[in-house]
Amino acid sequence: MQRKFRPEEKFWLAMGVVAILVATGGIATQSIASQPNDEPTWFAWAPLAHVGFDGYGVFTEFPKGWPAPQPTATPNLDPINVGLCNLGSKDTVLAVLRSKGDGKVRLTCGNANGGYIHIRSGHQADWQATTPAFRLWDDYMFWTVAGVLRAPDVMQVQENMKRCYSAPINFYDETRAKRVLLKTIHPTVIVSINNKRIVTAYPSNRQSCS
Amino acid sequence: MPIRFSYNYGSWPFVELGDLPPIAESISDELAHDLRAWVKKMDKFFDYETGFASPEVGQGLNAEYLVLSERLKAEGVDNVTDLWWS
Repeated sequence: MQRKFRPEEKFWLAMGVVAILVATGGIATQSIASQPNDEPTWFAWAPLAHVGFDGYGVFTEFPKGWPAPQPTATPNLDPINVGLCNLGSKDTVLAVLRSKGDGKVRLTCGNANGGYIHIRSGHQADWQATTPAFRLWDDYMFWTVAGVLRAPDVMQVQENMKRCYSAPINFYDETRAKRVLLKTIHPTVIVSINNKRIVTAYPSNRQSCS
Repeated sequence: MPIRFSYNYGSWPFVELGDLPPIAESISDELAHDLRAWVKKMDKFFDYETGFASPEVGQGLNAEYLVLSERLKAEGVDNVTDLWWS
C-alpha cells in the first residue's frame, strides 16, 4: 500500500531533506563526475528536438561556438523532491513533460518497478557511462527524456498499455581546436499510456523499441 | 566485464554502450530469438504497478530467465543477472 503525505508532513520532510543537504554539503544521491577544471568540454544535441545540453544548462540553437545556455532554461530536478523520493514518497511528481504520443506525462518518484527510483537503481551507471563530462547524471537523463518524448524518431505501442520512445542524441567535444562529433546514442523511454507516467529511461547504442 | 542481463521494458534485455560489437551479432540466431521471446512474455505478463499476472507465471519466467543467462554464458557472453522485478 502506497503512502501519501499530507501537506504538513511534506513540509517537515522537505525541511529534513534541506537539513541533510546542508549537513552533507550536497546531494548524496546525485553524483558529480570529476572534471579537472570544472569547465564543460562536451555538449549534447538532440537533432529532432532542436535542443542542446552542456551539463549545466540547455540551449535551443545549435551553437556556432561554445554553447551559451539560457540561464532560465535549466533542466534541473528539484533536490527537495528527489529527497522526498529517498524518503519513500512514491507519488511525488518530479516533472511533467510533453510527449508526442501521450500528451503530458509525469516523472514520479515511483519505486523499484518504475519511475525515478527504478531509473536510478537500474540505469544511473548507464547514464553516467555515456557522459563522463557531465556533472549530474539525473539532470542529463531528465534533459534527454524531455527531448526524446517531444520529438521521437521511433514511437511504438507495447504490451500492457506502454509506449516506447526513442530518438538520437549526438555528443560533441570541443576540447581541441575544432568540434568533433564523438558519438550518437539512441536512448529508450517507456511511458505508461493509461497512467501517463514514465516507467523507465536508459541510454543505448541502438533503439530498443522494436 | 560482464554485461547486465535484465528486463528493461524494451525489446532487448541489455543496455549496450560504447564500442563493443552488438551482442546479437555474437550469439546464435536461436538464442537471440529466445531472448526476444522472453522479453515479449515479460512485457505481457509483468506490469510495472501490479507485478506478475500470477505467482506461477512469475516463477516460470524467472526460471526461463536464469536458463537464458546460462545459455548466454555458454555462447561466450559473460553476464550478471538482476531480478529487480521479483
